[in-house]
Amino acid sequence: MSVRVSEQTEAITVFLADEIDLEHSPEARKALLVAFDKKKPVIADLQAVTYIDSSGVASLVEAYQKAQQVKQSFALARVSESAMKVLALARLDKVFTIR
Amino acid sequence: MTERGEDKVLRRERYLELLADLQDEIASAQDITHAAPGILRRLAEALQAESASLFLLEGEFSDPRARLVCRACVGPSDITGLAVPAGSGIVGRTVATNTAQLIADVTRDPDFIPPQATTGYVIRSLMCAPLSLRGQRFGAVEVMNRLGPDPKFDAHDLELLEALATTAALALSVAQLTERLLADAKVRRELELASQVQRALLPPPQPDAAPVHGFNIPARLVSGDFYDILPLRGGRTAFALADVSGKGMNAALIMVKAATLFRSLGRQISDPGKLLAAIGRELDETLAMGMFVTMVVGVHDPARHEVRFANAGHQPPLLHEGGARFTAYPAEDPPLGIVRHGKARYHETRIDLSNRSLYVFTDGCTEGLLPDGSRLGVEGLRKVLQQHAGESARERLAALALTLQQSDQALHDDVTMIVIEDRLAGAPQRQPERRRPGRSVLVQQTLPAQIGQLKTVRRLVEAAAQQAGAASEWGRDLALAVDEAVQNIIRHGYGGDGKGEIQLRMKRLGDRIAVELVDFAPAVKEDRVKGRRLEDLRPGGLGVHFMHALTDKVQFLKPPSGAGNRLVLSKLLPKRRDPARK
Repeated sequence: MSVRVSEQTEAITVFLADEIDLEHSPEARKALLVAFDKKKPVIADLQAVTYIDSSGVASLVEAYQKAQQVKQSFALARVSESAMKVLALARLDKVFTIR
Repeated sequence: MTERGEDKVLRRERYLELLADLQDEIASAQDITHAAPGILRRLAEALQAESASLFLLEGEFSDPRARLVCRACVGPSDITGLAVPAGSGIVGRTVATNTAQLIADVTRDPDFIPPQATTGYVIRSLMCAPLSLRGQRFGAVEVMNRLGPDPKFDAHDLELLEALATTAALALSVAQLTERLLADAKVRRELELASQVQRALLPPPQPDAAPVHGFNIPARLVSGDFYDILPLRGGRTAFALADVSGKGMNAALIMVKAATLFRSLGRQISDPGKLLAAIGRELDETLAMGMFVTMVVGVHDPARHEVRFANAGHQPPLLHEGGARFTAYPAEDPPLGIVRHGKARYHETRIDLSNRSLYVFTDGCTEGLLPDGSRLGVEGLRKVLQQHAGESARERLAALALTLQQSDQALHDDVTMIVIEDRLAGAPQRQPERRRPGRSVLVQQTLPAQIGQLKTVRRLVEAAAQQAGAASEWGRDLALAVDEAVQNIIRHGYGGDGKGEIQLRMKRLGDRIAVELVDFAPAVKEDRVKGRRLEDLRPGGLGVHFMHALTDKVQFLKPPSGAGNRLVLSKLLPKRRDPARK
């Protein structure tokens, strides 16, 4: 898996890529949570995600909860087909703001 | 002709103009010695000198054999080609001390060597300036015998000469550098050509179902390693892997010969022991002092599910028998080229290859560096091979190649490996009549309970599903369910400390695939793996939901004695159309 964070003027985008499994989700979780420190809207770009398991989904859920707690916006963008399938399976596709 | 009485300012201007002119000429000259006579003539004219000459240094100045050779001259006596030992004479002193010399009366100079009497040429006054740039000596330029009423050169004359000498030195330095670059480029072009020839000798990537696969990563442009794969009659495949001692061009040339010998003799001699002996005899003729070749040649026979190979001093091939079981087969004969006309036949090893993999590799594999700077070693190699055991041979080799190229440091040795395998599972073309859609074990593997293994588990499940004829999406769903189950065992069963083992077994049971996971952790209560309502939006707990949602049945069954838990996930195969008409 790879994580890349890019800061624009209007938002912070966390690009997650490849396989987000239990081995790698802690890294994704950390990148997402730290992104909120900039006090800007956070976007998780999932275009290059080829696999995501429950721990990866849990990281996204944590980010979602953090956003509510600190009253910042959090959205998923360009969700790959395989990631979308798992989100739908967890019935989280209606919970997240997906662009 | 200008008289010496001319105004000093005017003379200076004249010199500067000439200098600018000559500098241009030197800078644009293709070859300084070619342009030198014209330049020397104008210089002599301006200085009102009788003669001028250019001496260039041949050899390193510190070398006693170094000489100063006259490359160009103008004047009544032609001394072109005249050579003096680098340290002798006034010109030698100029070069040695790297200081311009202004000598009013040469007869008083102890270093003066008069020209041979036969030339009849008499030198009276002289100026000599060194050609040097940043400590590098190229030679000197000399001007002799001022004509006209005042027979002495003065400081202004010397200044002009020195300035000109500096320009000439710069031009010589550039020329020398260019020459070196051109030579390097030529060598590089030749090496690239040799590299292309060598790459062309390697076999193309083999189809997935082929029994032998290999790869070679050269550490330099040319490689001393090679491998080859040669299809024989009756579905058999001959293979070879060799490592020529030493590196660079010599090793590469021997490698080309060994490769050619294998190609030509490999089709005629199917007995590996005899084939290796025959190649050895031919190579004996070629091998230079101290060079040798370690080589493994063999034949895979799919009808017998066996491999036969002979090993001349090469590092032990490794047989992977599944799990952590590896057997090494050390060479019983010396490398080729060590004992002249050694043997008529090399020792042969015969192995039953059913469901096993034989790895033959060069020491570049085990000596390869990992990102932390340590060497991979045989242990590390085994680990990588074990970790990727569930993947196809090509994927496995790719994973190894990647491991060896992760380090920031360049490879210090060529890396070459081949794998020969006869996988019951991986070779569906074998005994197709016995493949019935009944019960068959697709995967059976024991894995350490570590999160790094999850990827392997997924690949194993996906591969087995594919083998059972399911679509890849079906396989990915099952892989996610199994991944979640394995995660639970690692995290909750074993407590996530990386200790313990998990036995993974996948079976085809008629219309479904059953994945059985046996662990040795304390028994879990089933209700803990029931999952929870999805509305309960907390991280975690999703995994169990995925297991249920993506399979048709999740069962805790009675574990075998000694084990802790036995979880079976089963999933119905999609209704299939006739796979033969796919």
